[in-house]
Formats: sequence, C-alpha cells, structure tokens
Amino acid sequence: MIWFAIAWRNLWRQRRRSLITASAMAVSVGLCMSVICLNDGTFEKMFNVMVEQQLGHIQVHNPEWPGKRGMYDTIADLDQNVAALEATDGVQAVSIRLHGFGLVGGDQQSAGTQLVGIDPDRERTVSPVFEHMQTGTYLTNQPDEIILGHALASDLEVGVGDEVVALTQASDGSLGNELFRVVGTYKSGNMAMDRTGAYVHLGALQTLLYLEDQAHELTILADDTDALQPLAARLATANPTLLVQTWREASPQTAEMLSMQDAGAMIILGIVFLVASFGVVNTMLISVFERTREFGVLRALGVTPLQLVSMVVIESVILAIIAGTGGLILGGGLDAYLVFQGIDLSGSIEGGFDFNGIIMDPVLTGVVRWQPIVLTVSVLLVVSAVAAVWPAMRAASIQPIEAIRSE
Amino acid sequence: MSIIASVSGLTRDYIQGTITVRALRGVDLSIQEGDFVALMGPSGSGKSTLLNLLGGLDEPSAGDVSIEGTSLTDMTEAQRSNLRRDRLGFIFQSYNLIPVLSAAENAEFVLLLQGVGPKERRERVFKTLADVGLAGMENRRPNELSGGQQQRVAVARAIAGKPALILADEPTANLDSETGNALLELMKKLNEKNGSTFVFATHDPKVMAVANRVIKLVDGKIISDERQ
Amino acid sequence: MSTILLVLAATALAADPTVEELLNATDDVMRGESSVGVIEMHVKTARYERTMAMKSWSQGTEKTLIIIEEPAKDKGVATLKVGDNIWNYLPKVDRTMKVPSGMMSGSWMGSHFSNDDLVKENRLSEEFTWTDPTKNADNNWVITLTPQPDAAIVWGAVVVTVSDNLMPVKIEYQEEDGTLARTLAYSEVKDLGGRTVPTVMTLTPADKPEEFTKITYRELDFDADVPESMFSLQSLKR
Repeated sequence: MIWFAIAWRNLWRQRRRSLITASAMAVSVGLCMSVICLNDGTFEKMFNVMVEQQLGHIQVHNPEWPGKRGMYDTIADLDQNVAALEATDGVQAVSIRLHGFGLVGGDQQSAGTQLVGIDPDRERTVSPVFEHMQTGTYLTNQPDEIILGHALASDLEVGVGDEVVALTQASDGSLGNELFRVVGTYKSGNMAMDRTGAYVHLGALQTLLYLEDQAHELTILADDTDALQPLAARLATANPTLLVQTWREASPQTAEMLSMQDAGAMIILGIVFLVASFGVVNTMLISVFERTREFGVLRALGVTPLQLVSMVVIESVILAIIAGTGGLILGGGLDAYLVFQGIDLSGSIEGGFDFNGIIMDPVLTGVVRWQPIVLTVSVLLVVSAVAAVWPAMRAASIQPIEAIRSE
Repeated sequence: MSIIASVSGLTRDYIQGTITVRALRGVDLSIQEGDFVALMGPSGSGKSTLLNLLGGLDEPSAGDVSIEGTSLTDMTEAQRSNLRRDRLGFIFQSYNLIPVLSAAENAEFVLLLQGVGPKERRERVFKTLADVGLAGMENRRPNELSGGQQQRVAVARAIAGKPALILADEPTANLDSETGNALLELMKKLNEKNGSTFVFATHDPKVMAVANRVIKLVDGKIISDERQ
Repeated sequence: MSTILLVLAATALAADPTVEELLNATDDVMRGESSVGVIEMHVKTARYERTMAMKSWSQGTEKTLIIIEEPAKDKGVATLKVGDNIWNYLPKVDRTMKVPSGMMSGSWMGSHFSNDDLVKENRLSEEFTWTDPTKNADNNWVITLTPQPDAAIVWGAVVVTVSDNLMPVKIEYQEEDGTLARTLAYSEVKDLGGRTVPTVMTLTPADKPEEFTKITYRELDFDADVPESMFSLQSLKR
C-alpha cells in the first residue's frame, strides 16, 4: 500500500523528531502500564480482603439479615440447607458463619469483638483467612480454640496459649460466657477484622449464643466467577426462604469501592494520554506545516483531500505502533519489577497503612492483567489517530496553487 | 483535430488588501490536440494564472474552462482531483517530486492513484523512464539526482498517466541552458511521437523556438496567438 | 442506676418547692451513705422474657456491687462498679472482665439499662440547665433539663416529673432531635427501709413500646454497714 510506504518514509525524514515523540509516547505507555499494574495490585489486595475473605462469591442470609444484622435473623436447618446449596451445579464450596458480638478479654483488658463461628474446614475452602496466620495455627479440632485479629490480640495483651473470656448476651437474654484458648493470631489486612475480629468454632459460638443449629451466613465459592448472577438466581429460586445475593449485591459499597479503584486507573490513563495527544498534535502539525508545498503537489497530482487526511493519520498511527512497541517493552520491564520486587515503603511507613479499611503491606506489589495492557495500547493507537485528524485536515485544506507557489 | 481545452471570457481577480488586481481580463482560447503551446509574456502578464486555471488549481472570477468538453466550473473538489489525476499532467519549475519516493515510485504514483494494475504499472513506469532517458536510475531518490534528471522524472510522472493535457510552468527556469534544451527536445519528441499536448508558461525563448503555437499575454490579455 | 439503688426520704414541705428540691427528690430517691437491697429485675423483649433476682450493696455514689441469685443459669454473675469502671464476674469460667469504655453504652445484663446508666452518678442539678417548674394536669411538677454544653450526656433533653409531695413520677429522655427515646416511670410508693419510696421503676424504650425492664425493690436497708472490702475484684470471686 503506497500510503503506508509514503507515511513510513515520511516519518523517518525527521528521524530525531519522530523518535523523540515516539519515546515520549512510549514512556507514557510504560508509565501507564506500571501505574495500572500497581493499581491492579492494590485492587487484587482489596478484592482478596473484601471479597474473597469476607464476602465470598455468593452470600446466603435470612432475608431479615441485611442492614440489621440481628442476632435472631438466622438460617435454621443448617444441614439440610447447606446440603441443598452444595448439591447445586456451579457451587464449589459452602462455608457456614455465625456472627456474634461480645466482650473478649480478661479482667484488665477487654474489647468489644466481632465473633465469627466457623466450621474451619469449610471456611478454609472458601476464604483464605487461614493463609494469613501471623502466629500460632488456624483452628483445628478443639472446641475451645479461638484465633484473634493481630491488633485485637495486642490490645488485649494476649498471645498464643493464653486464655480469654468471651462474654455475650445470648439469644435467651442470659449472659453467655465461655473460656477460650488462643491458638493463633491472623493478619488478614481487613482492618475491622484485624482490630475487632475473632474466629471460634461454629459449635462453640452456637452454644455461647444459645443458637443451636443456626447460622447467619452461608458463603459460597462458585466455579465460575463470571456467572455469579445466574447462579445466584438459580439458588434463590431453589431456596425461596433464603436471601441469595452475589457479593456485589450483598455489599454494594465494596463493589463501589472496587469500581472506584478501577476508575482511578482510567483517570490516570486519561491524563497520560491527554498529554500524549498534545505531543502527537504538535508533531503532526509541525510535520504538516513543513510539507505544505508537498501536499500542494500531491493535490495537483490528483490526490483527494480524504486521501491526504488518511496519509497523515496513517503516519501518526505508525508512529503510535512504534511507540506502543517501545512502551510495551518499557512497561513490561517496569511491571516485572513491580510484580517481583514491588515498591518498599517500609522506610516511611511502619507495618502497613490503612486504605479504605484495608491494611496494605508496606511493600506495594503489582499485578499484571492483559486487559489493561491491550486497552492502553489501543487507547494510544486511537488517540494518535484522532489527534492526527486536525493536522491532517489542515493538510487537506491546503490550496495546491498557494502551496506550489510558496518557495 | 479535437479540442482538448477551451477557455472563454476568462477573468481572474486577486484581491490584495483594498486593491483588486485583475490578472486575466477576458481570455478566449482553445487548445487543439497535439498542440505544443508556449504562453509567453512578462511577469504579471497572467500566464501562470491561465495555466493554473487550465489545471483546475484555481477558480476563475468569471468565464469558463472546459477540458475535453467538460466545464470545470460545476465540478466538486473531488471531481477536479479526479480530473487532474486522469486527464492532466503537471510539470513545475522546481520539480516538486515526492522526496521520499524513488524515481520509479514518483512516476508510478499517478498510476497508483488511477488504480492501474501492478504489472501494467511496472511496464509503463520502466518504459516512461526509458523514454525520458533515465533507464537504470529507477531506484534513485530525488536527492540522488541532478536537477535535469529530477525534471525528467517530473516529466515522466506527468506523462505516465496518459493525460490529455500536460501543463508546464517554467519547466526550464531552474536548469542550465544545455540541460534545459535537452529537456525541451525530450518534450518535443514526446509531443511528436505520442501526440501529447503541452502548454508551457515560460520566459524561455528556446521554448518559443520549438513550439508550434506561441501565445503572447500582456496585462491579462492575449495580444497575439500565432502558429508556426 | 444511681437513682435505682439508693433512697433518701423526701422531706415534707409546705410552700412551692424550688427546682433544686424537685431535682434532688429525683436524684436522691434511692441514695444513701450505704445500702443493701434485694431487687427483682423483669426484662421483656420481643424475643425473650426473663426475671432475675439480685442482691445489691452500695456505698455513696461511687461503689456498687450487684450479684445475681436467680435464675440458676446466671447465678453468681456479679457486677462491680467503682467510679467510672465496671467489671463483670463470671462464675462459670471464674473470671472477671472489665467493660471497656467503648462498650459502656451496651446493655447491662440483657436489660434495657446500659452500663452507662450504672455509672452515671452525677446529680441532675450539676449537669443540666433547666426551665422553671410548671404544673401539669395531674398536679405534678414538670422540669425540662437541657445538658450543659460540656456535660457528657447523650440526651438532647430530659423531662423530669415530680409529684407535689416530692415523689419522682417519671423521667423522659429525649434524643437530640427532640423525639422521645425512653421513659423511666416510678410507681408503687411504699415504706421500705424506713423511707417512703417508689419501689418499682419501669424503663420503656419509645421505639419498642411492648418491651420494658421493670425493677422492683423487695428489700432495702439504708445506711447498713457495708464493708469497704466488698468493692474489690477479689470479693467478686467469692
């Protein structure tokens, strides 16, 4: 195609200028990729903490539970309900949670605590909390075991092997109280769970709260995360007495937070490419002005205005392809560093920092996904094409006679 | 002999600030097939303006230009582009080759625009370049050619598309006289051999010597039109 | 709870009482240098209804000890208040637990009273500004109290109703926006421990009118000899 050949050769007439512009665009792409990589790392951390640990893919509650989170808004007939959910196609695992609020501690230090009663083996299949043990072990098979959020444990000045008392108001109004043995502390990254949360065996909490064979929450791990909506709908139809929600429905604020995080990346992408597009417009404008005469000749030879526009746009797109290739190499290198090394902020921040209720590690690491990379390069190409249109239109509007006359 | 181009009542005014400069004042003219016309006249006589109007590169203030019986006045920009592409060839004083294309590619360019197939394109380009005496230089870029050679490429580009009319604006002005003579002979030869129709706007008396028709313009009017 | 546990006999009077006299009638109704009492607490909620029998010891406004005697399930559970701190003793696990400050607004023993109600011993006349008393249709005095700007009071206003013979009738607690939050009503005026006092107090949350906590004084011995050692963490574990 002659237009490609002309455009390609035109680009290299001003090798230096083209290379500088391409370099700037490549740096934009590289920076975008690395910022998105870092952003995705944060996103994944947030998703892991908020969705995987807390919400699971699909949540099942008593219809009265949302908002109130009342002690009495339980799911009864646990065995039967859980078996029904587990038998459903698309459900990989089901965990059972009973929530209770109470005082945990001793005679000098105690704190209001969100107690979560779990079946440790089931919970393990759904939520990765067990991966975040800081000291000691996860719950095993002794009914008096408790694992505490690491910040709660240090507030209570207890550690592995210590005993703590849990005091709650049971469902019959009596004072449920029990002695638990700390077997571990966890650092999940969820600020609320790390500061005020504790896990005990489901049976122990059922006894403490006087809620035998009941739970507040069934959390489902689905086979296909992209088909949660239809699965939730099927489960809801099959279990009409229960409230079945995808994690997005169960926690719109989490969904909102995550989409804000995504939007952040888009804003960065937008800003970088706004700057890049000025570069493209500038380069192409200069290049068009320099070739006024040449464009006049082309028009005299019978090139139509549209063909001229195409030629300039093709030049810009070729430049973008070169820049995009360079940017991918640069961005790939930066991404690799972010993924394998990360940015260590521990010099300035001790022990992590709070980001929307999630405790982030002081070493920020990135996550590479192909979608934003494709998006970045596509945006570069589109922006380059669009940004070249205006200079191209100027080129096309050149009057051949004026152009040829200008010596 | 058929009429290639005809001009009637052609007037062209240029507005420069508050002054209107009348470059052409009602010119009537027709160019016959096979003509080798020299438009002569001092600077500002209107010869370049007339040439541009013939090529559809400029629009008249009054009057009409027809190429092969079709009026340019009613044409759209795209139609005029197509007319230039298919029926007209241009040769400029300062060659105006496309610097990033080789000699062969410059000559090929119009054929590409016309949509001529690759095989025919290649044959015609090589033959045309041979006709203008540039055999063996097909792959040179304009900056690797002398001025005379560049103008020969420009001639090749102008005739490769088999136009009805070739318009040349001072084609020899930038060339030394020997090179200019050789180029003129080449064009005359093409005129005689292929019947190509040429219109020159020129000061060069040598052009007058080889032209079969000399039209003199003064102050935007034809003062003489002689065949020789 | 300050007002629950201690009684001071209202002095008979002749002319219109002053605001201070009216407020002190409410503040001091159950207050003494020290006291020992037998109390029954009946809690009714939408979910459960239970009655607890307890014994209480107190010394001034600073120290209170309450031990549950019934039902059997909660027998021996004890609450110790010293100053602004509250500890619960749990006999089943033989441990005491201090109630952290963040939990003071939580329910005390599953009732509608909060831990804060137990701690707040400050006198009404010290924490509030008030309107002039007016007489209502029942010939009772009504005073509207507004917290002083620096007082740590969660209520928007407190409306105190006192009978003409200086017996507290009720206290209405209002939210910041003026809506009624809960009502503490006094009834069953009897002679107890040498004083004439309302022996029943009923707390009703305004948003759940079917729920209430009713405290009935069975026995009350004012100015009994209560040893200082009662009010220690060690004594909780007896």
